[in-house]
Amino acid sequence: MKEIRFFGHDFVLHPAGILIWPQENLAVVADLHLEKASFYARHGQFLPPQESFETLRALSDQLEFCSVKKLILLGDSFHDSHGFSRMDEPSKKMLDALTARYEFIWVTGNHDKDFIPDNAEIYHDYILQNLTFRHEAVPETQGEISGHFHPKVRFLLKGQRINHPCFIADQTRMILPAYGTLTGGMDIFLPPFDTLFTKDFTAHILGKEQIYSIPSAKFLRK
Amino acid sequence: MIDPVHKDRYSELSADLQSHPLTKWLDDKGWSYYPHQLATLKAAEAGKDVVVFAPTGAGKTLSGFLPSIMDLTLGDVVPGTLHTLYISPLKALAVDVHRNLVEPIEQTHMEITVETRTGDTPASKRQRQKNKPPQMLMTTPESFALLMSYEEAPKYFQNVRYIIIDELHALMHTKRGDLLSLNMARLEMFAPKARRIALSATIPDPQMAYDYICRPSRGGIIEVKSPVKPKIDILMGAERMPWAGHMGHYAIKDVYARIREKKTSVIFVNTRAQAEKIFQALWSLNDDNLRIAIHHGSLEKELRRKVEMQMSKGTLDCVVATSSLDLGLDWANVDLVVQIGAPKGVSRLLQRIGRSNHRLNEPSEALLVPANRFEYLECLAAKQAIDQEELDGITPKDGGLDVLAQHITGVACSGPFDAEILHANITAAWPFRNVCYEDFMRIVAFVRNGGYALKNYERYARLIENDDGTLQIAGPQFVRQYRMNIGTIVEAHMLKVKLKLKTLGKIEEWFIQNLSPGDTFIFGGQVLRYESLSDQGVQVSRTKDKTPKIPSYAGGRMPLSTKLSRRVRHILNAPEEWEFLPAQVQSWLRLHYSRSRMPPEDGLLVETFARGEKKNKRHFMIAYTFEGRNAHQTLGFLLSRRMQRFGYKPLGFVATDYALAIWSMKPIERVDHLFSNELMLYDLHEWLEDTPLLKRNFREAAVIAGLIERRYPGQMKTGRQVTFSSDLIYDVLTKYEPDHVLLQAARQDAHGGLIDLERLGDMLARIQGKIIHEKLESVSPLAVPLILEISRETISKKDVSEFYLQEFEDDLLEEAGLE
Repeated sequence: MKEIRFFGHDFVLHPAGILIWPQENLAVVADLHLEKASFYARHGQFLPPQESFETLRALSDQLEFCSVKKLILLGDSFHDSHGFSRMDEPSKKMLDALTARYEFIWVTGNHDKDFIPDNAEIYHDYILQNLTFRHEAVPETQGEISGHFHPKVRFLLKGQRINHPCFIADQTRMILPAYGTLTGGMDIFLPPFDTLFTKDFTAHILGKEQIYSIPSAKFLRK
Repeated sequence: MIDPVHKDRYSELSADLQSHPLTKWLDDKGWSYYPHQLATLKAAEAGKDVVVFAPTGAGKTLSGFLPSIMDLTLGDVVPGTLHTLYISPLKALAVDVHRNLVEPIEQTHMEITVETRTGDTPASKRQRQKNKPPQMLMTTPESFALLMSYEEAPKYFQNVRYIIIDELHALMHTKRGDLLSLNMARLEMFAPKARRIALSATIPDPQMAYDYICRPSRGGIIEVKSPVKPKIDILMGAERMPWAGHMGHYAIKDVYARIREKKTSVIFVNTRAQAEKIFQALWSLNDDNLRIAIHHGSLEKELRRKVEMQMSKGTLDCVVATSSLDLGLDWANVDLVVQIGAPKGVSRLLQRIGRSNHRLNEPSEALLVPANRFEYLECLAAKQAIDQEELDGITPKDGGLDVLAQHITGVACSGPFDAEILHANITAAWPFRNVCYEDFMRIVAFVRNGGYALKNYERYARLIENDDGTLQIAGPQFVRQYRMNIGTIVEAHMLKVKLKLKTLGKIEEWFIQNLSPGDTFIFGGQVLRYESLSDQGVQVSRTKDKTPKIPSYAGGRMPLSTKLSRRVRHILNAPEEWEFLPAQVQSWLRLHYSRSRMPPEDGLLVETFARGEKKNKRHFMIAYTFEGRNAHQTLGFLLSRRMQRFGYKPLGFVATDYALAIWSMKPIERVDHLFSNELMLYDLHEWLEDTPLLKRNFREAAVIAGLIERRYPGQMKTGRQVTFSSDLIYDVLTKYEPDHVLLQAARQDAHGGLIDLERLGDMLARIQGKIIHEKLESVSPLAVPLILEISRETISKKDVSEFYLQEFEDDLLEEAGLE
């Protein structure tokens, strides 16, 4: 867990990739990509079918300790708009249990834009106080929290290759790491991150049990 | 001497052979048959499978082709059909053999059609070959597998009479060998009359090769002993031999002087990075304008072909090469082979030396150049072993389940199959002889729908069941998928290196990721500046920068063989023999002897000492285990884990072929506790499931078996989002399906391959009660090379990177005056 200040508010970062806003009793996760495995199975690539169950189980367990009432899913919660219809019973039950326990804010993503869930409010942009929660960052926005890009750091530190997902934030914008079990990542030193963030940003890297916060200046080698 | 069969004795030959145009062609050139060539012919004509063991220059290739040529010219063959299948582990070798065969065929007007078919063959030619096959086809195990997956395969191969496997020793007990064995077993169903002729370098256990390749009680072994021993020198030049490093850069002037005296030399090195460095260094000295070229696996294909052509024409003076030139290519004009860096194994060294002087009855000439002082001992050990004809053995290995999955998919692509019949067929392939029907069906289930306990994917199945119970592929999209992903070699992700629009070759993605724009590196012998990364690949520009970063390519490093290791330990423990060593090596050993003690031939020497001050103080432990790099790496992982549990806070380790160095934040007290036998029992299992090495094996198995697709150049941008991290899949599988066939395949590979568990287990058993702990004030002379070793392996990647992140963050806080 790590406390940070962003756009005038106090937040807590959970090393599993969850953003917590204690003042609002709120947790945020991005890019669950549920049923990614069954999506690929249609093309003959049989990824482990327990993928959705594992993602939801982990989320459910971790939220237990976050003492929040509200949950924002920042889009691409399903890998495609038909994901829900392919989901097996144990995973559906797990999802139902979550929607029953928390007030669900369902932000739509590019992958799942045609899916409408039960028991959830649906938004393209969700605004709370002076902050906008949306799936994909919009340039020029001030005070925005989004997902979509699956940020990750990959660099060499003292001969050690580091390759971890991370939160990335500057003064006005924050992007969450992808939460889903089978989601990969994109290097924050490649486009489009350079156009979205000022030169002065911080990568909050997910460790096993803690967050490591490294300012961008420290990454610029030599 | 091995004498050719003299013309006067041709009356002993069959009348057919006496009057054969090939005999006359040889005669016109002043050549004639060797006895083993005639023996092979006789055995093959009697319907036998044959393995021919012979040194280079002994006309092995003709032994293979003679029976086939006789049959094609005089026998009763079906016109316009494939008669002989030649399989080589190297595309370049297939092309070379093709060239050497076409010459006599054309000059003697024999009516035999000969063609090559490899991954490089253009689509139009492939299509034509499919409709109108040549009589002889030169190909690779992968292209053979591809041909066998076509619907027409049974008809296409039905008239095959000979299958010739070249360089068997390089294929045997590898995954490519697994693939070949399976397809040969299947070919037997289509062409029961086909005989197998395998050609191999000399190996210590010929019976093993016989069992591997010949059908039961149908085979024969023909062995040709090398009549002369190679002439081997170890370079003792003017320059000081370094303590550590593997580049051999110090000796470059001496090497240059030696190649200048020779007509044509091949300089073998152990890694691609080394090839780049040596090549560049030679050119910086090249006042005589020698024609020096470079050859390694990540250079563009055209560049490599060009070098090979120039070598065969004799228009080069020297080529610097990696294992990309280890096999088979025949260059009669090479009169010196230089090996820079340790030879690692006797058989491999002999193979390389065999590139020089392809005349059977004259000795090959070789120069060994140790890159550091340990390597001097290793070179000496190798020279002694060659003198005493002690070769390394090949370790037999059961076939990979991932390869079997690929094969079953291929069979399904060619048409419906009956599972019981196919099971019986695959067990005829030696590597798969012990696969029981239940295990086989688990792999069929994997191919069908992933083989998960949850039956979620039944409706997407890749195999469909016909009314008669046979199985076949469910649609053309899966056939395409199979063909795009065929083969058993899984390389690191590679990116094209582009100079404007020109492609120079390929480089590992992770290497580029660690560069910033403006960084320089050597590639293809020139210094390049990294500009940007795009969909097309890595954009570079030329630069005059003199101090480039070196591409530190992965791979290419072989572990020290058991036999060489034993000889090195013996030399260390024989001070009476040291006086024959060069002065530098001698003084190093004597200094060590006075400061610590020599690693014993049997037990284990462990040294501990500390370096650095205060916060940077690190405690080092050196174990002189001599079990080769792979075993040491595994040992490093296991010991680190255990040290972590004991609270020593290990930070990292270095594994060389000779020893292991681990450093930690806290000093190690009880060394014998660390090395107890429990290490193998208790820690191993737990570690295996969590190791990056097992994850690497899993990725390979997942690609070979077809769970995840290969990435191709140009897919990079989309690839980022489309390909899956095999690590993530691995994590879910170990949690929910711990017995999944792919995990089984990964564990099987881990045990047999990279982590050398067997060697480690033997070592631990041997040293119990015989561990000597030397507590030293500072680093000992033998340990210096380890401390200097740059390339380093890590404990668990995640764990150690967190250690560094913590330190990094702490440093920053301190810097900012916060703590």
